[in-house]
Amino acid sequence: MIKRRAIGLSAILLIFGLLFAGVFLLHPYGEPDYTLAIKQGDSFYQRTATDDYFIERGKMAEESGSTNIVAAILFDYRGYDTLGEATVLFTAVAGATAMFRRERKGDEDE
Amino acid sequence: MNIMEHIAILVVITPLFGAFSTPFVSLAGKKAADIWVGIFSGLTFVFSILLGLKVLRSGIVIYTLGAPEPAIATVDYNGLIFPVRILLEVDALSALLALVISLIGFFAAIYSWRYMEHDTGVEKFYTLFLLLLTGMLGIVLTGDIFNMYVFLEIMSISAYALVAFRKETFEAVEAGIKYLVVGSAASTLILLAVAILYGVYGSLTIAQIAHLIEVSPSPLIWGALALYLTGFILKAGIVPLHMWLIDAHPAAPSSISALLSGVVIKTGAYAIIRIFFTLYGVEVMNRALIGWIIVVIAVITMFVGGSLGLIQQDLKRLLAYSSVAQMGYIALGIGVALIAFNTTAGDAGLVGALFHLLNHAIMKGMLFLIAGVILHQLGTRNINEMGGLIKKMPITSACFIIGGLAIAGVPPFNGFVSKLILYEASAMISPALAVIAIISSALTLGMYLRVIQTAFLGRAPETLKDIRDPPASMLIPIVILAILIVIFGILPSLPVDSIITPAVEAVKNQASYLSAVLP
Amino acid sequence: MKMSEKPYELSVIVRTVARLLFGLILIFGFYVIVHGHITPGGGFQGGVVTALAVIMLLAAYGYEGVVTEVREKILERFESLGAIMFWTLGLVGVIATATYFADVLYKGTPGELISAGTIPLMNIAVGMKVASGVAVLVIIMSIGMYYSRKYQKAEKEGAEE
Repeated sequence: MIKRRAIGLSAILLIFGLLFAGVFLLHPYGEPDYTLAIKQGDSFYQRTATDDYFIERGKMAEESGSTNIVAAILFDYRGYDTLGEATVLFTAVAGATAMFRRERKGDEDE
Repeated sequence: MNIMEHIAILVVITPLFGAFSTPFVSLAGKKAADIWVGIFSGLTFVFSILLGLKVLRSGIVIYTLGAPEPAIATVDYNGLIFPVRILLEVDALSALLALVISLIGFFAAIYSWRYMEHDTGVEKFYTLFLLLLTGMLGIVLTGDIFNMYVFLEIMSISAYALVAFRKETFEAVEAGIKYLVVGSAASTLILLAVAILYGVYGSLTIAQIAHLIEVSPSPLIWGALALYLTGFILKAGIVPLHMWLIDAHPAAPSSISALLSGVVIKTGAYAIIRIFFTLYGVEVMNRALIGWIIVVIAVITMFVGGSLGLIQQDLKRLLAYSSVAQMGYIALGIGVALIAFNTTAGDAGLVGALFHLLNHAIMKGMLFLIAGVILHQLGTRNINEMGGLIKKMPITSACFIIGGLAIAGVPPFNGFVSKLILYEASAMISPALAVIAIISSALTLGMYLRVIQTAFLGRAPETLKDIRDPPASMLIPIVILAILIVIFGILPSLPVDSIITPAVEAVKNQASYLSAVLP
Repeated sequence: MKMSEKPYELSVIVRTVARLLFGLILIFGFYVIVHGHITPGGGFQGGVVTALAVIMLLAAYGYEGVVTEVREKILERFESLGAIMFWTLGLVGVIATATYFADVLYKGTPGELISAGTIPLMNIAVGMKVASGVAVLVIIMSIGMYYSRKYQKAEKEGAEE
């Protein structure tokens, strides 16, 4: 039992260590890394363009017209994901009510 | 409004609307709910066929959610062109999976009409059933990794509830909780992988990330790949992460078992194929290393499933072990395709994997439906309590024998063809692999021969006097699936040429998947 | 103070405050939902705030005290209705010859209450869904507690006999 726990604990520590080391490979928080765009030469893509796009264009009337950019992303740009998330909640409620249903018809009270 | 223009999204939102409206329709009684779920799963099937035809005719279908036109996937931002919205990207592989899912889903819905007649809460069952269908279709059609995660959650949560649906038995609740715990852990790993990829590349669109990985692979993506693989191997029920499957698939109501074993675990296999061949691309990874890891896992999976299945007394549990073994064959095909990408062996491996995926969905779907018939008519799942069923219920028994022989790889059924392709492919890599695959196929044969001999042939026990074939609505789906097994076995070129080969081409051609989205 | 006749209820102070705050919390929840597109918040957040009103009543009065006023069956229908509304609002884009979830309605001036096309409507649909969904979940959990308490009581009495 102790051996199994030790294996589990060391696995968790290993994964944690790898993920923690991975943090240093990301660009610093709030300081976008534009090197990728330079490296590509004639290619168009750069990392942070999506965020800038949301912040600049999100509230404009021709895009979504919502001054709350979170709402613009939730219900316009990623509305389909929000439908999915609402469905996850719907599924959870349907599952829970299915688990707590009455077993036979005409069961005692309520 | 042109239906063909919106066909990709219609495949997903049709069962979704069915799920949302079932609580209202069921106010009019169980009959109305029956017809409602039949209509919506049937409509989904029709739309999947139309989508497949469209993909075969005009190539990859792009559907951008919220754009002025479905095909406008990218925006122009100060001269930078990139996708910001969620998009569905349907190539031949996605269309194939959608077709299989909606086919089995439709039959399972029809079958549920009579099968669930003794249960309470049928409207909840139908709601969750349609949500399960929605989740699977959403996973295979999407072109966005976070959207894939969202639909994975819809699929998983409805599957947890459906596994535990017969809550009056201890077995079902235990299996449901077990599935919930390990399934949630797997979902978390997948979400973490999505977060890492988004953190590194700032995009969620598969095509965009694939392009960026090609241009500048960051070391972090290998961590994401490990997390992704662990999560989806669990969702696919491949050894060593198969323990939930053995409990969950037998405990669920049989129409759900057919869906779980037939198609839910296939979405895991689909995601693995999509991640290897499209998201990462075979060029950046060490193909031989990863391929051999998959092959070793596959071989262990085949043996564990085959040998543990031999000793089971419970019919549905035996079928669940057989599902594990067959997932091993699909994984073997994927591994071989990775090792020998773009050679004859690799192509054969992919054809074998995808054809076996299709065949196994049909075979295992049918076998679980038959196990449900036996449970419904006899009230037992124990093989030793059955006997001589072929005299009492001839049509069902004939179908079971066809399915059992097909899954064991006996000619002239479809399982034989797909396994033969897999043997050939693996023999080109290493003859020992083919030998192992054939031996484990013999284990499967032994497993099914035992069931056929004990349960269907021989003398019927005294207790089984008034046993008949089930009502037509349960029998017809089974018979149609059995006919498909025979047709695909005698004329394998029919499915292979029309739907499998385009799917294989789509898997191999990462560049066309990318260029469909990016300018 | 002697023990209440109803052991599942909290003290009279909690009950009174809960009764007074019930309406205020509902109004605040509706405010967060309706102003989702111009201020922080939205359907999910406002929905949870609204559900909190019911949860507070459950905490103060117990399941037995609330079940006569709030029916979870009705709430479930409301949840389905919210989901159908959300689904249909997505379909508006298809009908207007754009795509599913395209924001095609009147946008107005950004920052005003009537603006941003379908976003406020979607907020209301999601708010309705989340509010009733979360309330149903909590009520169901308290049903589970109610029955387990009942069985425990019955077992105890059986043991004493």
